[in-house]
Amino acid sequence: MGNALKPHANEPSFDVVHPVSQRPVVARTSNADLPGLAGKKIALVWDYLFRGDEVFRLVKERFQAERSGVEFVDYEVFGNIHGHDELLDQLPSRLEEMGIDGTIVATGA
Amino acid sequence: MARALAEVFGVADPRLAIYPGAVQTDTQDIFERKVCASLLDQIERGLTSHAVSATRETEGEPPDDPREIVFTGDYDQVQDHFVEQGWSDGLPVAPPTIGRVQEFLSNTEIAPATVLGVLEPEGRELTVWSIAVNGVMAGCRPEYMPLLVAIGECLVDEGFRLEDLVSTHGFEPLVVVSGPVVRQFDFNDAAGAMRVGRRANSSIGRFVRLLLRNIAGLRIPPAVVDPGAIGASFMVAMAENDAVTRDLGWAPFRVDNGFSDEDSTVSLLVISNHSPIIFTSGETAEDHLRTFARILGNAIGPWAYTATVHQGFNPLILISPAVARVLQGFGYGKKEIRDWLARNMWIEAGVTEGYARQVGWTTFSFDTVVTDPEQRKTYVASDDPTRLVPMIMNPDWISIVIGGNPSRNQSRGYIGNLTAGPPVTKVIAPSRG
Repeated sequence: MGNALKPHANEPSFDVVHPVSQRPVVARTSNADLPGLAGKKIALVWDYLFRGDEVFRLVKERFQAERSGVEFVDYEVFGNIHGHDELLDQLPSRLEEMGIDGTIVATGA
Repeated sequence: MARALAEVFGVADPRLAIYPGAVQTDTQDIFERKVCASLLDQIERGLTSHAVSATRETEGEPPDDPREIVFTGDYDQVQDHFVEQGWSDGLPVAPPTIGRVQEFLSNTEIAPATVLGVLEPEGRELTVWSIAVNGVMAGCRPEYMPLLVAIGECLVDEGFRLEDLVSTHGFEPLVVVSGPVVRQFDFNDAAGAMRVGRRANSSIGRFVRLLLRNIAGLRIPPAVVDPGAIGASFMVAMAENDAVTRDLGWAPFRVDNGFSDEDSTVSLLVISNHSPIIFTSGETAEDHLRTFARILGNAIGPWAYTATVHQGFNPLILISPAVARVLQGFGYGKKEIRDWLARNMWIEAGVTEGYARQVGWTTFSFDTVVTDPEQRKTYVASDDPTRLVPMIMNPDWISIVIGGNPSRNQSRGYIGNLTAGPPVTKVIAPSRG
């Protein structure tokens, strides 16, 4: 951006309005942190893009070795969420029914 | 992007673990090192010891009263201010004064405060007032207002899938107008149909991009919300040549989309890219259509796997009046053209499967994703990667519009994208002005 321009003599001045509109205020509270991963049931959810399967393999290797009793529910159980709104709509109730303590979502587009 | 979306959904403190770099281009060794050294710790922290950040930023938010004057200055100062605030597309805008905005509003019956919907990802309300303000800025004429409102109705329609527009792919909306409005607003439907130069085509195309910037929040850096990796410029609005379409005895685009011949309509489609010019000639309809299939197919290319996965893909063909007349002479209508193309557009399975893996679906193969027994007969007929698979499974996915230079044999394809892309069409109310 260059230096601010000075008003031009003999040119009209414009009173202008804001071109951006309001955002409805929505506030949600995050769930409480887990006290630790040991003994917890963690869901793996993926949009089948960008090596999420490989990340999840490393997640399982690390945490199953270091956090005793942690259990993972694989992404195949939930299906490909990319472009499948019906799966996303069902996800909260499925997570609840399965007694999931936490979810790791691998996503990108 | 994830932070911006989280804020829209009211989550001020999203639990994010972010891969350091471009995940798809790192070698296996580097990828695993980065995941183990950075990502895994972020994931565990996100689940167990998450830091809570500040609540929504309010600086720079618009005033409660949209009529409030937020800046006063001469033409150049207004331009500078709008660029500094991130409200401009980089081209000079017409200053949105109360008087100009009122003139737009006088052309619609709908109250200015009416909220048509909320545009993701920034989640702002698309009001009739905001449509008028951005219409002024884009250089539209006040009498376009009912058309601009109809575009707003398309944007908030769930069928349009604005959320799919918000992707790294950087898709662009295409406006198509059909009916008496084409002559009424002096759209160009002939030579240079998709070139800037006619006010209606140019300013309405620009208006859509301004709405996406100012209401949906798709701003390029230094803002961070537009995820388009490369993106594209806005497209001028496409206008159907009604006289030729009528002369052919073909249904106009508005009728194809379920409206009456007397209506004026606007349609919005999601476009990924367009084809090269499709020059055609020959002694039979098939001579022409073979070239359409080849060039349209090349423009879709290996991205065709998405049509299979999502059971949808929506190319639009802008057919030259001269070529349309020839095809009609061979006894072809829109239905026959669609059917022929759907039957004759193929791609090697291995090419599109390999591309899916490069895009990021690292385990992709038709064998694993096609589960329908009937479709498996086509897509998994063998394991030969050079076997051909169809690109367009449903002829009705193809839209046809007549336009362009009536004395040239040049047409063009506009390529959609999986679940986004079917034309969303609305009637344009009569202007009150």
